[in-house]
Amino acid sequence: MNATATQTPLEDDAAGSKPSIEVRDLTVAFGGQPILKDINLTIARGQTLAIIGESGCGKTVFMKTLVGLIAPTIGSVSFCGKDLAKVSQVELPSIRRRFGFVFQNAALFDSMSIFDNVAFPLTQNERISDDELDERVFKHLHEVGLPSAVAHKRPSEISGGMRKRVGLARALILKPDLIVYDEPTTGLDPIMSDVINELILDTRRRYPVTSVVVTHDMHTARKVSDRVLMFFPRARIGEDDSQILFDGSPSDLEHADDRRVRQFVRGEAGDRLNELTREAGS
Amino acid sequence: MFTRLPRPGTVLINFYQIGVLSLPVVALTGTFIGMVLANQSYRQFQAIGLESHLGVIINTSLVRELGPVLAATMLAGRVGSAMAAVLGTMRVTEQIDALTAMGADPIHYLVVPRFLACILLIPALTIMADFMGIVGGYFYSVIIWDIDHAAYLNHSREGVVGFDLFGGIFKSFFFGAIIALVSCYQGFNCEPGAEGVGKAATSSFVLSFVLILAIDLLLNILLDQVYVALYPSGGGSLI
Repeated sequence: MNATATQTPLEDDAAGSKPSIEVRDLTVAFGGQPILKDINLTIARGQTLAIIGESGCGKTVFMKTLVGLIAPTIGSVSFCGKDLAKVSQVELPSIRRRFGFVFQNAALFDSMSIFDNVAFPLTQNERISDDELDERVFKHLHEVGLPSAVAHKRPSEISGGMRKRVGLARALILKPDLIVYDEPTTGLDPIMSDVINELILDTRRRYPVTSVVVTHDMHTARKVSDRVLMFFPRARIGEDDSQILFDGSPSDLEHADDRRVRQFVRGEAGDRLNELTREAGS
Repeated sequence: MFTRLPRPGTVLINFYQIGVLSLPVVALTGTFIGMVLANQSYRQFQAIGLESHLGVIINTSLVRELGPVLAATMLAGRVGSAMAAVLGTMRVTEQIDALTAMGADPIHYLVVPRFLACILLIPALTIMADFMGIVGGYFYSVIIWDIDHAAYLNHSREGVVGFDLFGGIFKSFFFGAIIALVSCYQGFNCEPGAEGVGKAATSSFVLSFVLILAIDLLLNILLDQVYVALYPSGGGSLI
C-alpha cells in the first residue's frame, strides 16, 4: 500500500536486459472461435509499437491480453520476464500498477470529478499527503494541457479530446513502465488528433516508457511509432498463415510486399465490398 | 472478498445511496401496506364483533411477512436495479476494465461496499417498514373505522411476540444479500450496449424478486421448526 511496495515485484528487472513484453504462441479464442492464433513477438524496452489492422482483426483483444485483462487461451504473455498467467492473484495487481492504459473512450469514472479520476491510481496504491496528491494531480493535468479549473468538473462536462487527455494523465500518474493506447485519436478532429500524437511523443521523451498504440489512423502510426505491426482477421486467412502481415518500421509500410498491407495503408477498399457482399449472401 | 475492509469513503456513499435515500419510499410502502390491511380486514372482523382485534392481524402480518418481503421487493426495484444499471454501464464503458488495469480489485471496490450496505441496511429499512405499517394500520383503524384506540393497542400487544420480530429481521438479512449479489452479478455480466444495461437492470429485479419469494418460503419453514423447538407449548406455528 505504499510507493515502495508497488515497485518491489519488478525492481530486479528494472535495469535488466529482458524485453519489456514477450508474447509466446498466443492464442485467444471466444466460444471456440479464435480471434488471435499463434502470435509470437517481443517488444523491447522503450520501444513504441503501433498495431494497425482492420476492425475485428483482434487488435484490442491483443492489447487487453498484453496487460492481463484477458487471459490467453493458449500461450503466454510475459512482462519483464514474468508470465502474467502464472503470477499469483496477490502479485498481479502490483504488476498491473506498472501499466498505464488509455482507453478508447477514456473510461473515466462518471461518479468522480476529473481530479478524483486522475488521483484514483495514487489513492488506491500509495499513501501520500493531500498536498502531494494535489501537486501530482495538477502537474499531470498541466502536462496534458488541461487547466486547473477542469479538475472539479465531471467527465460528462468536458469534451472528448479533454477526456482523452484526462485518461492519459490518469495513465501516467503512477509512472508506468508500459503504456497502452487504445485508438487514442478515434473520434477526434484532426487538430486534436495531432495534439494527442504530440502528447504520446512528449510522454515518450519525458518518461522511459514502452508504448503500444492500437490505431486505425495511419498518421498516428507513422508519427508516434518506431515499429508497426499489422494484424489481419483470423477468419479470413488460411490455417497455417500468419496473422501478422507486417512487422517493420513505419517508413517501410508503403513498400510492404503484401498487397493487403499496402491497401490498408493507402485506405483503398479494393475488392473488399464484393467480398463483404458475397459473405453476406452466403 | 473480505480479506481487507473497503475504504470508508466507498462504504459511506453506498450506505447513503442504499440506506438513507431509500427511507422515504420504504416508509411510504410500509404505511400503505398497514392501511390496506386495515381496510381489507375490517369487514370480516366487524362481522364477528372483533374489530378491536384488528391490530393483531395487521401487526402480525406486517412484522412476520409483509414488512420484510414488500420492503425487500421495493428495494430490489429501487436499489437492485440501480446497482445493476450502474455496474452494467461501468462494464460497457470499460470503467471496470480501467479499475482492473489500475491494480484495483473491482470486486473489492464495487461489490463489497454494496453488499455490506445491503445486508446491514435492508434489515434496518425493514424495521422502518414494519413500524410505519403498524402506524398506518393504527391510524386507519382508529380514524377511519373509529375503533377505540385503547382497545386496539391492548389487543395489538397480545398478537406480536419477540420471535415474530426476530423472524422478519432475520429474513431481511438474506433478502439484502440476495439483492446485492444478484444485482452485482447482473451488472458485472452485462451485455454490450444500452439494451444490455436495460436487460441487466430488469433481470436483476426479476431474479431478486423470485429468489426473495423462494428464500422466504424456505426460511419460513426453518423458522417454524425453530419456533416449535423453542416453544413447544407456544400453541401454534409461526407461519
